[in-house]
Amino acid sequence: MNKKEYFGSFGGQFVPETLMAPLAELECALKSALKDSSFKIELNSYLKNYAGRQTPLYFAKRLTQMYGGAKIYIKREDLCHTGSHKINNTLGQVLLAKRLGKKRVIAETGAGQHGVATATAAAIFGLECVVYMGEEDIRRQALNVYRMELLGAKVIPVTSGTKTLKDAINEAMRDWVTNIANTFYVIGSVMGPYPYPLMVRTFQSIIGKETKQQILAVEGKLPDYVIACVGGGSNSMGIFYNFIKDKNVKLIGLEAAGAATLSKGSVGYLHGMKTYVLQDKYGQILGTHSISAGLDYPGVGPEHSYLKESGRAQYFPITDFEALNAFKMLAIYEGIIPALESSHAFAYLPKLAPKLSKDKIIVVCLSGRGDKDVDSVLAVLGRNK
Amino acid sequence: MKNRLAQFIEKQKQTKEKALIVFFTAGYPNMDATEKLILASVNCGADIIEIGIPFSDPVADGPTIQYASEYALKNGATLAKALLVVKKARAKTQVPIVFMGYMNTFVAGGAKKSFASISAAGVDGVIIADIVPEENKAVEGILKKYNLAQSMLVAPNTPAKRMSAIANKTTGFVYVVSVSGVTGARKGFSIDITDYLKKTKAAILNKARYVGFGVGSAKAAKALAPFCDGVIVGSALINIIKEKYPKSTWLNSVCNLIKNIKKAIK
Repeated sequence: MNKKEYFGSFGGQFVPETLMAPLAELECALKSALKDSSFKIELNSYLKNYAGRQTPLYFAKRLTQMYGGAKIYIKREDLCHTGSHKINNTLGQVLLAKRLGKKRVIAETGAGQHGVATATAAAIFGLECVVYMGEEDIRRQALNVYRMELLGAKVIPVTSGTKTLKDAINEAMRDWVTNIANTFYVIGSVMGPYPYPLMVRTFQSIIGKETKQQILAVEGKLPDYVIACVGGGSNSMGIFYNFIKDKNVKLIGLEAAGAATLSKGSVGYLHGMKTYVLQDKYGQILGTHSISAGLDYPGVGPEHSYLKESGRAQYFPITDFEALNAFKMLAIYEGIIPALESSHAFAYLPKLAPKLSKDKIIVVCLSGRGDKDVDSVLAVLGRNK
Repeated sequence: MKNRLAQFIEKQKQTKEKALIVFFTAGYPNMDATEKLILASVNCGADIIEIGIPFSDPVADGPTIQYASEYALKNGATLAKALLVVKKARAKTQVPIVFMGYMNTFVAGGAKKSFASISAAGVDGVIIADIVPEENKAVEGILKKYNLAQSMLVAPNTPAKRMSAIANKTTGFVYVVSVSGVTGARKGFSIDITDYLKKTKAAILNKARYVGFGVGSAKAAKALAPFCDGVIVGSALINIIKEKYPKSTWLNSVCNLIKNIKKAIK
């Protein structure tokens, strides 16, 4: 299938009819905005002067020495305003919402980072903002709930299903169907019906674009590996995209073992897309279990399904235990407290870096900072390590 | 050979009588009750039975059907068990039966195998809530092969030209979604509903137009009936079951609403 809505055989628009008109409207607005230099100038100005781009590519000297193999570079998306890469996407989408004259934006959130980034972008432009969040996630990411409220957003607890990210998406989609006339749905990952996966990847691909320029400037060559965590898959798609054509750069995505959609799932239909999902034999979507709320999702962006199937990228599961170890390592060796989501990417380093020679280069995407997770980690690890 | 749904729609063109379609979630509150509901509904005047196949992530459904779906799934409801209910009911009734659900539950374990078994059990058609014409290639050939009529949906924001195209793809009835929103009984409709229904009449030729989403009472059904070929009632019936089951009067209470609506749309 070569239809524009698809990545290989994945993607599409598996939605109720009511959403087809707003999806067409969105596609049209996106196309015209991306051709419009004033849109690009405005977005780039916010990315630079407000969100703090470009983010550094940092050589992790002690981590490199500790593993004793390949050189490790860290792409510092944790230094973006609001504390994660999510702002790259929400600034783009909220500018589009403004362009379409929508007065209200809605979002789903798992860990709360996308909710915070949406609330932030909505605040800049004075738009009403409603964020759907699973009751279970509200409990474990309380800090981010309060941050969203401080930013003027209304956080609505979702009590249906598994009370996590997938159910928050269901509820946001229901809100959107009901309020299409005045509402723009800001999806937080490279998922959902077309054109969302394309749009979010477009806004996030700045991560990989910068990384490529930065590594070429420092090392004079491309990295051997680019690695990133995958929940829905926006930071990974963002850093992967500009390296897809560079066949010698290996792309590796790390999933939470309790939500390892690509490593353990099968093809299905969820949230408007055909993609890998975790499901039982009856086609019911399974609950997921990860210490990291942002990776607790039984689906994945369709472009990742395509990268997996075509063999261009590889995906591996990381356990909670491995992620927590990586979390501690980064704090102790590099003075960085990473998000638990991003810790999954770092957890692959002990399996990879020591096996590689010292002239090899690994770039890890540090998608967010870990302040929000300190309570959860304390609850698991306690004070005495 | 025309299936029961096609035969009913053909006959309706002559009689001009308005159709009443009733919806129940398979396995809510249990599969025995679903069988009883099918048979009782026919006796009380329902023309077509729509059986919802519960899905873990029903994005087109409001709180009532979400609740019924979650309840049924917790009780172990599956497509196969719903098919057993239909097989048993088929010994006693030839009422048209359609399954409504979501793509993922319909095609789990293979679309061909799944639709073949749906057809073999005596189901006449399907409504797939998250399929639009652009994606229909994924199922249309198989549905045709197994003589399952596919009813597709139009919504208030569907442009007229697109309505006609959807009607052309439809091999059952056109499911006219009454509101921008999810399923669920509502207090009333916006004032422009008749304009919208007139628009669907002009755009949709030679296909039955049944209106659903939010038809919660005999009064609402009566108001809509002159502008369509039939009404679909779901959440209102499920609300009664939720309130009354397992009191001895539960089935009668469901039947009373069906009778009242049937009377109202005559």
